[in-house]
Amino acid sequence: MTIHDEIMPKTGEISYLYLAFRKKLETDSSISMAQREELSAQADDLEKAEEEMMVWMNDYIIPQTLRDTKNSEEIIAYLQDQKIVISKIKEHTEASLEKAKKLKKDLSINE
Amino acid sequence: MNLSTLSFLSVLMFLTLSCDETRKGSLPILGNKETLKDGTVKYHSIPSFSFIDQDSMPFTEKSVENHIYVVDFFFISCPSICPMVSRQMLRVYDRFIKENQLKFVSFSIDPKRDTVERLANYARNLGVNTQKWKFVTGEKAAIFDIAKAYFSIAIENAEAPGGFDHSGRLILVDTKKHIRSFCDGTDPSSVDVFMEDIQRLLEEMKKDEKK
Repeated sequence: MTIHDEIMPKTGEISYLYLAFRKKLETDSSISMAQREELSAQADDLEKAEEEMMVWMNDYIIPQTLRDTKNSEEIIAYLQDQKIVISKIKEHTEASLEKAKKLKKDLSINE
Repeated sequence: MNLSTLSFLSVLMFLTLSCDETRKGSLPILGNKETLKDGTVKYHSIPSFSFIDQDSMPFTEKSVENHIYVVDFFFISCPSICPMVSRQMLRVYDRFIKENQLKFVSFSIDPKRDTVERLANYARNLGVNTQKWKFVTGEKAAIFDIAKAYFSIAIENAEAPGGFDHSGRLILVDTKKHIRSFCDGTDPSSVDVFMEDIQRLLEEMKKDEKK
């Protein structure tokens, strides 16, 4: 949950960047085809990173609930698995945000 | 004591007295303001909106007309900050449960998963009156746009506008769509001050009605 708490505040930032990129694609006909493709790919990646986080939170089961159906060893194994999953989501989120911020600056996109 | 120290103390005393005076008077209108050509001042206000509530009924600015209301942004599967904020919202709700002029609005920022059925179930589990406290969803872009309007006064760091949804802030809006107060919904002491602000705004409304 500590890893989640580190990365979760960035989800709103991802959403705003995603929406700003989509708006740029819809409203700015002056950008080149290459820029358009890069922007579209980056918007898709932001959306994917956000969705991964939302799905993880939706599916995550708190240990107190797990106690009803699993023993201690099974709970520890579940939490260790979740730590790996959320760490990967964190890596993806941070990488996607970094690329998106650079692109936002390069293309002078306003939120 | 030299002159600059004296000046500093005078300024400090003035600011302290000014702050005390502000807390005693009516609540300030928060956010950017603009002076128009005719000299009138235009304050930041919440634009028109159109969403749906937990009963699939339209939720627009008409739904809060002639009411003051408290807003938060949340999503049901949020495992950390939102439950803390919801507990504080419930505290505020319980304290003002008899105030018919106050409503509560919780916007979901995860419309994909927070369907109306899920929102209705969430409201039932909280045990609140959904005539007083609405749980709202809609197009994601529209929700984020309206969030910008609510949080424009509360975002200290312009470089991180997206941080709002997990900031856990509660916002107080008056009948003229102006933002009058906000607080950190994860901090009970901040919410205590916020509740006093709600009380002041309710009293302000009652005074205006008598005029």
